[in-house]
Amino acid sequence: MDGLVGVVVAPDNGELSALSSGAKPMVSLLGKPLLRHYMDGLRAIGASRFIVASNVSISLSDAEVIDYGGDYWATLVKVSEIVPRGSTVVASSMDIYVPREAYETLMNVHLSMGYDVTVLVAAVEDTSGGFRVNTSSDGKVLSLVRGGGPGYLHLGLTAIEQDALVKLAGGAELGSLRVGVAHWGGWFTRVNTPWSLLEIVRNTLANLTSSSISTRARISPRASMEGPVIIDDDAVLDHNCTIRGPVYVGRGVYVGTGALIRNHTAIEEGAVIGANAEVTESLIEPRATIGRGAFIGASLIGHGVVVEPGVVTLTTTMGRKIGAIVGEGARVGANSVLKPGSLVKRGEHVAPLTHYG
Amino acid sequence: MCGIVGLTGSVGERIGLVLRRCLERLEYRGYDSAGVAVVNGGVITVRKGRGKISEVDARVNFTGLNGVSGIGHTRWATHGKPSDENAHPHTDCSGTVAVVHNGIISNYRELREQLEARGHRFTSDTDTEVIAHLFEDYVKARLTALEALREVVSRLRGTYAIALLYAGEPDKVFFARNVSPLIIGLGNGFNFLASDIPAFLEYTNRVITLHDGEYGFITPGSVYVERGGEPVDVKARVRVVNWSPELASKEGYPHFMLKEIHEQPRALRDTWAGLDTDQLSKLSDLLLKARRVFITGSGTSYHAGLVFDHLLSGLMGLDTHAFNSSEYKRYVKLAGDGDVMVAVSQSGETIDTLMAVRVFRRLGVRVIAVSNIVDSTIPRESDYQLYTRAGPEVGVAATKTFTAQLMVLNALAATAALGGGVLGKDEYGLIMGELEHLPDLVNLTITSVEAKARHIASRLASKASAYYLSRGLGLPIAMEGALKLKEVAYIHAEAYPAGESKHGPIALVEGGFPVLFIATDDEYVDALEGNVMEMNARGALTIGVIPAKHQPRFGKLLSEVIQTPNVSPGALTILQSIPLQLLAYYTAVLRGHDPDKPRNLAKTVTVE
Repeated sequence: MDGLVGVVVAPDNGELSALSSGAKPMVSLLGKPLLRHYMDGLRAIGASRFIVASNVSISLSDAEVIDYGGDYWATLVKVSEIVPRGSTVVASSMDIYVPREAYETLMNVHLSMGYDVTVLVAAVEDTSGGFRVNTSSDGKVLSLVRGGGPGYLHLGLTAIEQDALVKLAGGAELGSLRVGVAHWGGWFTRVNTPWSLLEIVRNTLANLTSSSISTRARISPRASMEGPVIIDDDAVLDHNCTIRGPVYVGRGVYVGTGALIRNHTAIEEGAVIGANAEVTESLIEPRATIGRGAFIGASLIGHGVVVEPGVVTLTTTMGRKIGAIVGEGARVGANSVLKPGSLVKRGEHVAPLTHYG
Repeated sequence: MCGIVGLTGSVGERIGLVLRRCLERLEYRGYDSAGVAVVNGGVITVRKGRGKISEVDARVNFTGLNGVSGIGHTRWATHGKPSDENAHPHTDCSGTVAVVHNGIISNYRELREQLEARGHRFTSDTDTEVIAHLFEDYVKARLTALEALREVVSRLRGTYAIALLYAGEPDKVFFARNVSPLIIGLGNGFNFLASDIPAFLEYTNRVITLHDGEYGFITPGSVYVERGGEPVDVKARVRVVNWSPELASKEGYPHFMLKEIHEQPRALRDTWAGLDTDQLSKLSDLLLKARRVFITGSGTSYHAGLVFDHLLSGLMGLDTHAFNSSEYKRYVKLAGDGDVMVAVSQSGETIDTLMAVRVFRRLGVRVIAVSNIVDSTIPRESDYQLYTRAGPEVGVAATKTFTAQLMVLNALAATAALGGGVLGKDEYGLIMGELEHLPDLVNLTITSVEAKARHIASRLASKASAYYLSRGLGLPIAMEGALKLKEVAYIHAEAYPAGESKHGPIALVEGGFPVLFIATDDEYVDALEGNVMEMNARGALTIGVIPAKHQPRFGKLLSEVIQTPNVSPGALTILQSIPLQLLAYYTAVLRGHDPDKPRNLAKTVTVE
């Protein structure tokens, strides 16, 4: 649709750099780069034109890429110069991930109430690192301030009319505009550590209610699948492997004989899971290899990593389950043990039989 | 709050039917009266009346209406009763103008006097009717309809969303907006106006939002908007809404329940403003002279009744009996002349409560009804009426109507305590002053506890059972909190007097079993501390809702603490209800349930 411009504020702050050389916006998640999740959320509410602001080089055929302005609001000031007159801008920050329904909630409010600016918020115990929204008793936004302490956190999703955006860019006070709040009661994830990705995988897969299996996947009649699973094109499930949903198996993934893929796991394009390996509550990035008989739990395995046979990740529960993070291109030698919270650096080689971390 | 809709052109169905469907989607904005007007062959037909849309339609058949253009309205009376006369649309003297309106015309008295002086006859008590007469006045002065509208808008003060039909230009629906929401829906050969998008989403998903101060008209093939006499180009404002109408606009909230929790400051402010001190004194005399006082209600209303019961008997020593209205038969032999019953019902239609009211009145008992719906059955059949003014409540789980009931009952109890000599004038003034300022404290409580409630909900979400324990005035609040958790989060929750827990229920408590404590600020609180320690000793997950002054005492004892401001015990019941509502809401959402549509439950129970 004309008139609705989707903006993704997509800086790479280095938080996820261990995982992929493609930078944060390009980390693969459930079959597509993280950035695409934000663009698809915007597309679902009617955006047809996209602007992506980043500090790393990204090439997209369907979006205009501009330089990141240094922060969210500074980026919107830059955007104000290029959006057409009379349009509505919906800006989404990659610092926070919200599910698609949240985009709809925001737009429902923005259009129904006819606000100049509508911000999406959720009540959180700690607003530091984001913006806190102060409201009056009748729901009007009084101010946006640097976070700290409990309150209503701005979830990085904002709808702004172009003329209001120009006024803001020109230094107008927020208080001079009609600013409304949309409250979000559901889940969201702050994307500030690699562990955040596991949380997104968990929450997204938890809402999966039915299976979808590509007709182009090759599945042994003796492979078993339980619960909701997504099996993408050209995936191969070999004899006697078990997929226990909710699980995502990406394009061209190979799952070996006797392997067990357990709940809340996403295996991205072209990864290989060796025979008799077990993976649970983990994210395996594209083209990683998990060797025969390994155990990977609550862990993130970076792009192209090789985990040799017999490697075991140990997990601990500290609020959430924590396993290991293995950076892009690293190699973990056979029969090594990765202690809870281990961080194997990008390209690092861990010798066989190491007790790491 | 009201809902309005306008339509011009043909969507392929009878216009009356289409308007009715749109109105039904706006029913959350009010449902005490409804009406429709259509223009056909230069004649305007109006059909309207009090009651829900389906009831009014059955009576006056607006589904049967056909025409070129039409407008419709669903109303929620805040001042004055819902009646056939006060239902919208309103017409001018000659019947050539019909108007529906959402909002408040603040200068309507002045306009009405001027118009009456010029010979206009008014047939309703509403502020809306002045719009129709004013428009008529300008058209009679040989202005075109658009010129007349321009003049009308320049004279109106206040908030409004208006849709207006004029028999002289039947293919147009005129409109004006200031503050109150109004949206245009663009169709192929037809155009809509409505208070929100879902009203017409079934017919079109192309919308234009209007800004404050804009007015104009729609025809089947065009939209004309101006502001301050200058045309406004709205072409660039067309937006396509391509998501499902199920995700209806809830004015900034994902669910009605959360919206209504956040609306409590306003609901309480309106309820306070609607209280009449003379009436409270009259009713308190009645209570003080009564032989006994029966207090009845169902579900949440019963819990509000229990708070009142505690205030009257526990603090004032009146002879009271509180019971679930479905159990009224047990008390029939006690009842007679000289008794008073307080019947609490949000909807005023709850069948069990209505039966109790009818039976007790026949026995000579004088009945005071407490309801949120003006002139509903229970208030109508009672001797006296006290109204909460919480506005329409759509969420099945009662939230704002409960705290509004508590406010009314607290005010009545305080007045009775003054009359009975239990409270001195100063203490009474203090309590009433506190109630008056409570909306601000409620607002503060919501914003300060919501994040904590969400956090605790994440710990409750995986549990199968919970206990809510308290003593004294906190007990009804514990019962209400447990009811909320059951009805929206589907977690088995039981409320007990904390002292009862060691006589059985504690057998179920093991490591991680959630136990919520509602700490009052009275003589009961010492004993409650002991109960917390008992539960801690068994490894329970202890959660406390406590007034801030008890923080030093309970803070270290409990796994999770939610603090509310310090107020007197009666007002504290209102503040403590809020975190329990939020807790139930977030637990439901985290468990993947829709808190607005709990299974097996209806908002108003009209079968025994």
